[in-house]
Amino acid sequence: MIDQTRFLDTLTEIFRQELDNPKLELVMTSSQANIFDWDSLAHVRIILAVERAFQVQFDVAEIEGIDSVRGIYDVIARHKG
Amino acid sequence: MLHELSWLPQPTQTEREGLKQFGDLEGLADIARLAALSGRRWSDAELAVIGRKLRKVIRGAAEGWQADAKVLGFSPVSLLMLFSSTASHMIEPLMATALRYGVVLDCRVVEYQEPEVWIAQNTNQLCQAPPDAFLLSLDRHALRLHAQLNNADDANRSVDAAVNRIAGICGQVASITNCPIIVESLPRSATDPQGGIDAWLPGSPRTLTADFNHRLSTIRSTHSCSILDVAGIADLVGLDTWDAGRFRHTAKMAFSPVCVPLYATRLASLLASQHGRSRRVLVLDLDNTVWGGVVGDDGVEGLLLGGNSAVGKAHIEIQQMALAYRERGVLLCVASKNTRETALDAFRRHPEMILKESDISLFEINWESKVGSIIAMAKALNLGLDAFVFVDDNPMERKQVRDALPMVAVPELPQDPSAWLPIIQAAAYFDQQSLSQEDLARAEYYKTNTQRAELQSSAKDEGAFLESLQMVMNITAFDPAGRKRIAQLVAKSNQFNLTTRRYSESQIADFENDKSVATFQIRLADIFGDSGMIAVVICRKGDAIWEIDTWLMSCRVLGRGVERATLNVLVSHARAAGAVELRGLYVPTPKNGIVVDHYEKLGFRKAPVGAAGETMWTLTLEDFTPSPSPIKILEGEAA
Repeated sequence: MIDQTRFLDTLTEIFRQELDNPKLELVMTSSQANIFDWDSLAHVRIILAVERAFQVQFDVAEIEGIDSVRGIYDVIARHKG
Repeated sequence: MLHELSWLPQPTQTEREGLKQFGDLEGLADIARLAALSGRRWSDAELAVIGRKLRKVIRGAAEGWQADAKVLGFSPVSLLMLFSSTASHMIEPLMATALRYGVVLDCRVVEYQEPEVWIAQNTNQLCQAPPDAFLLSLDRHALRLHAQLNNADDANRSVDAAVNRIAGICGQVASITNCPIIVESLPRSATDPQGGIDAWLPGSPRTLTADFNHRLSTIRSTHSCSILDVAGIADLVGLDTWDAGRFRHTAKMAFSPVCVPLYATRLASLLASQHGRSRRVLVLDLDNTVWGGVVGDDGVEGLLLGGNSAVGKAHIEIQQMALAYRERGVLLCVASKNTRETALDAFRRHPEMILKESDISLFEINWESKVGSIIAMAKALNLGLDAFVFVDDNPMERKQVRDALPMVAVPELPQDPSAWLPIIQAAAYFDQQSLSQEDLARAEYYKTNTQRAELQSSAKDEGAFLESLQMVMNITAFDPAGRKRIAQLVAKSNQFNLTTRRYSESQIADFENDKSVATFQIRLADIFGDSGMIAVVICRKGDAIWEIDTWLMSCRVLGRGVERATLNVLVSHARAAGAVELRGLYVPTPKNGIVVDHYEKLGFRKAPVGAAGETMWTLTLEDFTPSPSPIKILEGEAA
């Protein structure tokens, strides 16, 4: 199981860097709907950074399917078993 | 793995911490601090961090930051990238990588647009604020490279159309601005049929790609563009590693993001060489580098070189690599901790030696630190330390040179010499855009230069020495024949360069027909040989005043009276055109300190002037008497 707090900390750091917003706050319900700068370009950079940080590799369907923090968490949890 | 840039040393724990603690750059001057960290094998995330800091400081910098960057010793380059695929993820890694080459890169990316349309729609902007370089990347889909299988005519049609399209875009850009244009060769793809028949079947993706790349190379000269050899990069890392895979459809990337650092390295190297920043000297250690074993301990007979020894054969290959670079105009030097006679004896006597004493420009064989040896070489060759590459098997020696001289490239190498070549070659330290006659003859030049030095020490006085050289100076206006060499000198000269104005090859071509400028390409020959083109001067012709826009000279002909002879010619041309005054500007850079008093020495008077350390100089032609010169001047067509 992945520790949710540590996951959220790491992900917040990633989002802050990739969206160039040092004050960004993330919660498990954050998504493309409520984070303004999380567009398709940022999405790829976030995916790359998440893959690096968590040492996982998403497949095409997963990359396309993710649009929320919860979604990222679920996919990583599935990979990590 | 080569795409991981294994020749770069890993950052130490201290350096990693240093980057974490770096904070935001306070201003442009802080770039030097960041540059000191750039020569390491950073992770993708860390590379992006470096790039991001750079991007922030450039965005926040005041108008004219480029001049400040130059004063700090960097080359500011604004790059416009027109890509059919995604490129914005490359901006930060590219900026971080360029810093390793002394280039402060300002990147602008235009993605997914049809280049012809975008250029047409943005012509005004391009005209008013032209970039320093333009990179065009069209993938095979955008190029519509496709033909009927086994139909050679259709294949030709498709390849021609693709190449002509690129040529057309080059022409379109060239009609708006003079900046250098870079186009890309097409890589093969792991997604194509890999069976043997595809290698030769006309119309197959493989043969179309090969034909395209072959035909693309022809537009280098016709359209004055450079080629970034993306096909070569893909081959080097392997098509499987190169393949974008899941990022092709989710992110429209042309290649895998893991290859971005290597792509960035090649692109930065190309841009750096366009701005006079390419490496030109290979310094080799001897023991366990040029040969296996330690000559002081093992004796000449005990060395492993060639013969039946596998280790010996590996070292032969290393020597062959050095020789191949010598053929391309790279200078070879030796820095070894040894007793001079012992080491030289082995160098001269060992029957398997490929390298000959005459192949080496300088031997620094002593028991002192190699840091001192390399500094001495830089001084003797009149080249900056950033022109040097140092190859040594010993990690301690490597570290010492890296720490003391961060601008020297020191590849990280494994213990096993048979694994060295792919790593050193992948680094492509001596990448160059063209090979000139001067490149081919350069190493020879440095050999005959020692003969000149011997003559100088035996001549009774300076004058007699110069006369004895029987120098002949050939001076003509710019012409197509000299164009590439002129462009090379304009791009590469850093020290004897009064204004360091970097004109692209197409701008040089324009000067050929520009009646408002007087252009001079200067060649020198003497009894020891032909030094080729060694100076370039461009004057802007005013009615009364001729302004010297560019005056650069190769340092190897310093102290021979070339400057005075050149001035004599400039004055006679200016007088003939009715001018009464010559005016010259000196723009200081970290590298051209030697010409701070160039105009003063020639009898110009200092005029009061403005910006950052620049000095303006005037010469009233009426007061000028040409000085007698030991150099015989032959003039071609008048400017």
